[in-house]
Amino acid sequence: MTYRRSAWIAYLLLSPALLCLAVFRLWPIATTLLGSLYSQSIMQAGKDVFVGLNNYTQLFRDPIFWQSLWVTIKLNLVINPLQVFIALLLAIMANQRFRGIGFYRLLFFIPLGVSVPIASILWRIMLDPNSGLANSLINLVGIPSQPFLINKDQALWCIVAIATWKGASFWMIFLWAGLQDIPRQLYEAARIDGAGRISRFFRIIFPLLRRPLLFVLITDTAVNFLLFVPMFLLTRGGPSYSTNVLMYEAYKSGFVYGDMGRALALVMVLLVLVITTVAMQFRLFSQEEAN
Amino acid sequence: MNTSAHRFAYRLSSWRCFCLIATLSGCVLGSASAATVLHWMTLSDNAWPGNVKKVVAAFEAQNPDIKIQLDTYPFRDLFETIEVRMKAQDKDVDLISVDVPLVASYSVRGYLAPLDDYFSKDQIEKTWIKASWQAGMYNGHFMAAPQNTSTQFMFINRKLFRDAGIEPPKGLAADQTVTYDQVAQIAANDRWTWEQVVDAAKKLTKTENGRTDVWGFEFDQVSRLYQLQCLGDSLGATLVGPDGLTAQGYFNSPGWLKAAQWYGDLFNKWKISPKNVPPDESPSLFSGGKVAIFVGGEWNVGRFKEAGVDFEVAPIPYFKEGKPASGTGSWHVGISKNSQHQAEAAKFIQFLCVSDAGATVWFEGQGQSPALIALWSKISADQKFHTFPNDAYLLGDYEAQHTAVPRPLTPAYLQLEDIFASTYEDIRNGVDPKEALDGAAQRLDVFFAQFKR
Amino acid sequence: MKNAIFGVRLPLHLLYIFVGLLFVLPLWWSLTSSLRPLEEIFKYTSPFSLKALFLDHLDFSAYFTIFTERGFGVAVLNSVFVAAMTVLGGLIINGLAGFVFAVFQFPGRQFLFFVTVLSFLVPFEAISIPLYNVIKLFGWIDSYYALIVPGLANGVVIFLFRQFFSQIPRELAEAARMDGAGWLRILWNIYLPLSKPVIISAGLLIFLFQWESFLWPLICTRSENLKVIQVALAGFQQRYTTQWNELFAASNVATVIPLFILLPLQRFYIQGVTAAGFKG
Repeated sequence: MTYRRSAWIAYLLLSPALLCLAVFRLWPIATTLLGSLYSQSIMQAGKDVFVGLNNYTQLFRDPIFWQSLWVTIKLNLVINPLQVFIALLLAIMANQRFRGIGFYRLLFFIPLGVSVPIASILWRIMLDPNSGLANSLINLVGIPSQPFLINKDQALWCIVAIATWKGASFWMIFLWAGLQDIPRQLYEAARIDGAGRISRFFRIIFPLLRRPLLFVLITDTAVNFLLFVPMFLLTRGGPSYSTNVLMYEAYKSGFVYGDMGRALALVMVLLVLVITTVAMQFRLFSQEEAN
Repeated sequence: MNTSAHRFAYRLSSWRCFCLIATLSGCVLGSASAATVLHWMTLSDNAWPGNVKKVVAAFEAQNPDIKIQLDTYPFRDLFETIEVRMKAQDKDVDLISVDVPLVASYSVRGYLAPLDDYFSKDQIEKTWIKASWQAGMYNGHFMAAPQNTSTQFMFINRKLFRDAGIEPPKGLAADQTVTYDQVAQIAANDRWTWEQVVDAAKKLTKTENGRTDVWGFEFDQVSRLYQLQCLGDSLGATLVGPDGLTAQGYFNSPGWLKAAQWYGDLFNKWKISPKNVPPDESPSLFSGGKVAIFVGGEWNVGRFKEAGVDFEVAPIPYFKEGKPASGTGSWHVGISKNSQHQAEAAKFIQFLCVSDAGATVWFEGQGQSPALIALWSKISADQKFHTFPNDAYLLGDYEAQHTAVPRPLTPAYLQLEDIFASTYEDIRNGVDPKEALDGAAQRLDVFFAQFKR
Repeated sequence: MKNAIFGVRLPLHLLYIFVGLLFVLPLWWSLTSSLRPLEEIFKYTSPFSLKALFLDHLDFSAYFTIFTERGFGVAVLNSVFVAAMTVLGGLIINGLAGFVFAVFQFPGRQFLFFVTVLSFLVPFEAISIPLYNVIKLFGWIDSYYALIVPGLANGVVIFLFRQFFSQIPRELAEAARMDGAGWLRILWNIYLPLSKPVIISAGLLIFLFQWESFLWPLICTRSENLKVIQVALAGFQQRYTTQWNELFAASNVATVIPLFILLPLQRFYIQGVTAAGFKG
């Protein structure tokens, strides 16, 4: 195969995938950017007019935007490390070898079949302050009933809990696969060295897990920055805008208020945020690796 | 958002698609003359689609060359999908169910085609009740025709009142025959006040060990503008200024502050109303005998009757220092600006909203208060409507004429409604009303400013 | 991490049970609630009694009703069909792409791979509106095309395939090429037979992604008969709010179906993900 011919074949075979990605991902991103520069004109009975950066300036003047931004950042500062950490713990637990581990692993896998809408609906019923399972269970141990999703201090963290409950098993799999990949001799060698369990973990296992961890962190971050369905189904951005993440605000602008320009501007801000965060994570991990 | 090049490409490819599809369907259908197919975006909730289909069937029987296809959605999705499709200038939409307060919003954004060519001013005024057709106008044009209107009642669970030994308000109940005048008497003289409601509800609420088995009072569409507007109206307070685009001083006026405080107290001070029950679930609580006093739409009459509740229909309460006010307005039908079959669509609107044939089928099926003057005359004459539960219509008639207050006319209704709902839901969950209302008014004015450009 | 011995201490078992319970309890409650009459569901939940979690008789009526009266069967079939089609198409498109990135040398390879993978960092919600317009352009709104085609190419899956194929020693392909084999032969005879793990994991990923899709199907379809399972569930929750037992029944069906596919194949899934190695 000459270099030239193989290049053409390569492009040919790649074309369906590239075409799909271009048409269904990249083109929409481009129109998002473009669309955010337009606005529906009231004067011209709804026609779209070019307004340049006006949507953005309006956005930056809106206190609700800053509030949404803060909620989004707050959410992600907590949920991403939390989910990765829990997934790691679960992966370690799943990686043990003793009789019955298969059964436990099965239990850990079960939430995989649960989708975000289902998790949201199910948990909403369970977190009902009046007659929900969650409250009746904690009442058993003497804790008074909590408002959960209708309280502005608890609602966001309830959503974190729900999303983590649903997602932990999924991310666990990638980390567990990573753990499986580490040869058992390494564990043995470390034990013989007399190293304590914790330092064993950090010095030997952790570095080898770096890649899967990075993969999980980055992908999970991207997913969580745009987390929206629980807010949509459970809290509608409330109570008191405490769960009004940027994506939900974008959705409201576009689908409820019909203000597409604003919606797309919000999406662009989100995208920039995601890419920046992911790039930072990448940089952080790569640097450590270099060390 | 679309550059003209993009638009051209869009038109070209959809034209190509259209040609292709037309050719193909032409081939497939052979020589059969194609019936005009109209697409109607409407609700999928409860009995609505079933009843709509009845009207459609009757229409298609009379007009064999027009077929109507229903695109149905649940309540919330309908609004959102209308936004998406109208923004995309979807040509596959002909008729739209317009929630009456959105007439201005849709008109301003170019979603609706004016109906002036199909209905003369004279005809309009003679056909529908004033509140209804006025609500369908924007800028002097007739934009959407009333399909029906609505009213609000207070529903009393007689058994719970009996058990608690409390005298229920005068109202309409089973084993009674009434005339319109009698109903009017009750509505004018024996109407309960909100204060009376709270007193009774406190006694009717049964709470044990922190668990409440019976709630004294409940609203139908909790925290929604449509439901709660009557509170401010009763105190003479409006939500927005006369231009429809000012919130400061109106949304957070002293009158509304009082109403909001009262509303919050229901849940937080007197604890006679349940939190965390969404509007979709509220009526089921009353049906299930868990609520003693329920204030909600007329459409609940049939539903409660079917559920076998021993209930009574009474006039909607008012604030002692104010005057009675009730919610009104319902669904209208409009023609999409991008429809390719506007004349046929208008024909259907004629059938559904004007003609005796169509409107009667709709009324008999769905049962909501008619907007048609002709139907009202029919109702008052018909003996059927003098016994329970149909005598509720007489009460509805009274309210429509004397206490009904339509929703604010503003092109920013979507924002208003959304912010109203989240504000009052926050108040329901314990946020200080003054704080909530002031924040909301500020927020609203930011949105309203856009429309003033 | 440590080679634990047989007969592990009780506290450890308790820990595992506790975590397992956290995961399973809500679903178990959902299961038992779906199998009892409506009135009983909350009777035992609040205040809590063990009867909430254990049944003395089984009532399958909710499961019947959702299919016979609520049209849930259509949603299940739709989701199965759409997921299956996406898996089939997705495996071919993404597999080929992964293969090409791993095996071929061509100008722009790094860049294209980078762009491809980066694109998956743009989740659906962000592009749903403009995507709607694109689909509208093709006239695919309210059709199976709208549900399937946008989900075919998937950056994560391409990444997975590419990583996996990179692991396969180059020498095998080189040898075959010296024998005069074209790329098709190399793919078919060498790479494919070794690909079972990655095909299964990729297939499962694609399947899960489609099965759990909610926002996109909500936007791009409207006919009742095109509703997929997640949308039907959300709509169900809105329409029949207080039919809790039916709501649980429908959720359980929607959860169990992917589990039936995932659990038996978990071994391959892990293998596929492991073999992708993330070392490339």
